[in-house]
Amino acid sequence: MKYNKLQKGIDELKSIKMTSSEKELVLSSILKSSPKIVKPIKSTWVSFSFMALLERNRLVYYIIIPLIIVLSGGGVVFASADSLPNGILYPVKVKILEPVEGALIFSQTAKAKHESNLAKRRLIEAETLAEAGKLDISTEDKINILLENHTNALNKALDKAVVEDINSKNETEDISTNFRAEMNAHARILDIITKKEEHKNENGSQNENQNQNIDINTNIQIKQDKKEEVAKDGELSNTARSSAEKVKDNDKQQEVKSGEVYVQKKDKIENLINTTDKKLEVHITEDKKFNNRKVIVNTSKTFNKAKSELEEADKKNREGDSKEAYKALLDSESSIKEVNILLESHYENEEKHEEENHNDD
Amino acid sequence: MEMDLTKKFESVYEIESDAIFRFCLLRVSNRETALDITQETFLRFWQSLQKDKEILSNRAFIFTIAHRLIIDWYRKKKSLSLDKMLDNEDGADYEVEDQMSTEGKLESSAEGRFLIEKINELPSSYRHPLYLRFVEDLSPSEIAEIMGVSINAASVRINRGLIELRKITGYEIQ
Repeated sequence: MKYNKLQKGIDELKSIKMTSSEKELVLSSILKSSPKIVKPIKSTWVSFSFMALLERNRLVYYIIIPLIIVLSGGGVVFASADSLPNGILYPVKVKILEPVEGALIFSQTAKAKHESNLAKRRLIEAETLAEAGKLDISTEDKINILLENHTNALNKALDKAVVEDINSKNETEDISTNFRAEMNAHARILDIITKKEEHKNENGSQNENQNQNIDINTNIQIKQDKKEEVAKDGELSNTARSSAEKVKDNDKQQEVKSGEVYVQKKDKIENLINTTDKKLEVHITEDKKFNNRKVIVNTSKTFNKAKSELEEADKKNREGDSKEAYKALLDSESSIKEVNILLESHYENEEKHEEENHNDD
Repeated sequence: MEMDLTKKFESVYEIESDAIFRFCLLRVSNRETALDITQETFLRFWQSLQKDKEILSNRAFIFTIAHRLIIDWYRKKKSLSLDKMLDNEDGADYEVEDQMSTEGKLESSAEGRFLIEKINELPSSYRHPLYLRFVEDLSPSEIAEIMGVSINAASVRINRGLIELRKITGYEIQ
């Protein structure tokens, strides 16, 4: 009975219909109102188009589109390679490009070299910016952090390299002395540039004061501000020097070398000292010939330091303290390499002027 | 070609127009609105035919269009009613959304009205599959296509809806 009621209900619902006139009206309005859709005429050139190529062969999607992505991404990475810390692409360089390069190096010795080069690159970037007067505090902090990271990574790689291959000790020593030399040399160069900038700024502000008669209190304030910035600028060179010290400390952990190794190393350093001495001679004669100036005092000091460290090494060796003797030998190597780096850089002249100015005073 | 298309459309229209109209009327409760939505539904179907769109089941396709147009209509109506209510501060002119209009009531007699009222009391997930299955005789696969669910889910909804309907109507449905 109840089932019949349901069927009856359904039948009643089904009886709801449009009237024939409504049906006619709706149909005619649909057929009249709808504009005939004109299909676009295919161009005869369509078969040569890029889109036609995509439509014909779906595989092209999987080749061309990733290629476009790779090329455009590669372009950004390539462009970032020469960017400086204040550039937009710099994060791409230090967070993508360089870590990827590092990840593709599997030997620990090569990794240590890579980290050492990166640390050097950071200091050169800082020098470039400082020279242009664009090294502000935030950029300096950024470089400081990166430099510390590179030093830590270098220390780790050096430790691992020795564990990985005992024969690579000579190579790791070379890397570490080179790193120390680079850090100390670039720290000094950075100091020279910073002093030069400071000097320029002081002169500039003095001239400005004379011309515009600015209030004395304001002048003092400007000077103080600049001094603060300069003081801050010294931080990066300090970090570089402490990085060199860190690697030096790492060297101390090394075991005592045999007599033969010591002699070989000593010969190598002596050769290096002799060639550097000749280079210094050339600089002195050129200097005398052209403007009769004194040779760079600081560079000469470092040269003498290298020599005295070598002598100390000999002394320790004679005393039988071979560990200390080898350490002094490595210090001497690092110092003589530092002299070479300074001689090769064009900043030595600047230092020359600095020294001369001090002497004149 | 054009003639074939028109003939095809006319034959589909002849078979399905009443079902679509009924489907619309029972949900919007207004004859004029139901006619408008029916016309719009078939207009879109006609345009799809002209564009050579691939249509697997004409019936499911037309019901899907109608189903979406009704949802659109409800959305529009809701926003209109809200505006109206805000215009009139005491809300005297506010019309209850689902109240059946006079025309709607005239369309069906006692059993039909009782049945549709009970179907409307069901949750919406059961309401539409049940109506399409028993009133419009659509297959579970067609219902699944309209509702945008799997065939299995559509069958489950029909069965559960049926159990719920039996509870609230007291009908013995097999």
